[in-house]
Amino acid sequence: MKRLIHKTKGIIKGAPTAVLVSAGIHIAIIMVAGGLVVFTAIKKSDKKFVPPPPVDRPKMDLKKPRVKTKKASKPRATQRISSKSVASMPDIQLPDVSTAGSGMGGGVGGYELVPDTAGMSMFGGTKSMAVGNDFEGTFYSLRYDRRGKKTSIDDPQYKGIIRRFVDLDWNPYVFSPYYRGPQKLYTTQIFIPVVFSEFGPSYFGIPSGPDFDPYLWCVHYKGKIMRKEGGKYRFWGFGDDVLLVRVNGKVVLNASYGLFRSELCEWKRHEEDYKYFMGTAEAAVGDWFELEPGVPVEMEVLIGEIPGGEFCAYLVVEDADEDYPVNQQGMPILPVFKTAEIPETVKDKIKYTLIPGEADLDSDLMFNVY
Amino acid sequence: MKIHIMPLWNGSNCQQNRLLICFALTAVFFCGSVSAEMRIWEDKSGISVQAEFVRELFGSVELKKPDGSRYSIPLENLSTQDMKYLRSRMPPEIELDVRTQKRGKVRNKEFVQESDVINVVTATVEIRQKSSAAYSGTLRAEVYLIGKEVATDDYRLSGKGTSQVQLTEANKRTFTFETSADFRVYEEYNKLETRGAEYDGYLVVVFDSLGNKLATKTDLSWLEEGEIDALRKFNIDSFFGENCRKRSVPRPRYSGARQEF
Repeated sequence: MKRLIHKTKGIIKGAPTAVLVSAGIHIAIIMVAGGLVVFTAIKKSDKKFVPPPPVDRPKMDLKKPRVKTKKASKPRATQRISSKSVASMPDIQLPDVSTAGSGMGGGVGGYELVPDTAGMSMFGGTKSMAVGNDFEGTFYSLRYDRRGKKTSIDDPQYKGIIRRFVDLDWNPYVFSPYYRGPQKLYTTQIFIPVVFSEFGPSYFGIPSGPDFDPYLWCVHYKGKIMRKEGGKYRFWGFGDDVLLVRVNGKVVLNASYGLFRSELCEWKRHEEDYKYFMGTAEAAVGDWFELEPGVPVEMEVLIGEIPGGEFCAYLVVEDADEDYPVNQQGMPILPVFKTAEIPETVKDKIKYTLIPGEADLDSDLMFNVY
Repeated sequence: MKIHIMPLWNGSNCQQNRLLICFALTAVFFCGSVSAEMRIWEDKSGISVQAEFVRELFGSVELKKPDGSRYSIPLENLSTQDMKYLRSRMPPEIELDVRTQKRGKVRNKEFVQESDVINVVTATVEIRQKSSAAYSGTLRAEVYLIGKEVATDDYRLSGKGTSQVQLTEANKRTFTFETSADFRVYEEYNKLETRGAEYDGYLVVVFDSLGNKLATKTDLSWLEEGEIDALRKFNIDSFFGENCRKRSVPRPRYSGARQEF
């Protein structure tokens, strides 16, 4: 018993050490566990504030300006360039056009901040002046093939080719065997009073001179028109020798020279045709056409010269809801067809050869898409 | 400003015995064409002074301090930087020589009427530096070719050209450039009048790098010096009178006779 009691006592005697060991172990476990908990908590909080991978951001930043730049700097007209088959035609190397009287030539020091319209001709300028409202003009000479050699085309054949162009949905592929001018021009009005036929090709980058025959040529203009408020309109005009206009796929004016007007395109004569002089001969009147409010539609114009000499392409437009003053002949003075204000320098060039009263250059009527 | 009456001119086969009037804005090399500008000047020994340029005379630069006192530094004592400044800012004394040549434009005769004539007038402008001091700035030369309408008393700006001019050792301080313009006279399509412009004369103006007019030369007897700036503002094909006031574009005449053709 005693022994037992002793043993028990002994055991009791050693209890504090075991407790201490046990407590130590527990404290150690708690500390390790606590440390782990704290460490984990810190680790978690670190994860929470990790910034999102920066890879996507530059993409977002780059995309916007790209879209804007494209919109602002590239004229829509350029995107509507005629047909691929024509684009593949080889450009013919020609000598530089004379710089005579071509503005502040030599390109000095960039002190001219306003767009230079001085170099613009009545056929258009080499750069867009009204983005999105331009008509792009492509020059073809049927007198020469695509390599610049003279063809055997004569007047009747020229008319036949124009007829084929019209019949084939105004496809410029018809002109692909012939010489295409090296320079496209951009214009916001189609109105060329009487000029000598050699000047037409020269504006498209072909030097005038004894080596180029300034006849059997044509220019195909293509663009879009729109009226915010819509309306009913018809063209009047006169082309010496070719002036054809189609809107939304339909020919609405054949104002080509009277003698062969019907050879170029089916055309029903209007009552007002041949009543008034415009330029060198009588004006033609077109079919009425309607524009839906705010809906842009395609418009194409073909002008051309057959025998050489005097050339003109007068295109004016009548609004069915408007009354117009009349000129000396009793012809209404109609607004020049345009999609933007005519630059003053171009207006002056037009005025120099335009008999007063044959057209209104200052009207508010514009067919701008933008 | 000094106006020279030049001797009778034989320079062009089309313009004989025309009185040349030369407005020589001959800038006195040292008389303050350099705009007065307060700056720090330094000589080769490193001594600096705040002053504005007064003139260059007898191989020295005279400067004016803010208190009004004058200070003179021999050119050879000026720092390299100050020498560069002087040579780029101080316009040189120049001489202008203008020659014009008229030739008929070669055209495709098969398509041109005899009454339709285009003459190409080319003005060759030579700018020579008279003063010996080097000038590192760039001058700007402008050339205007003026025509006179045959059917009216209007003048027409038919050609306009400009060139940057550098006078260097390499080009022996002489610079030459050309400007051309077409002058066409023809029977108008109304068959009622002959229209177009004949060449009448030229105007050449040279500016220094600060935009100050350095020299002017013309053979247009009716052109007054005070009207030159008005003429310079015109676009090609602008019409104007002898007073250089813009006029409206002359138009072809209308006649019932047109009904006949």
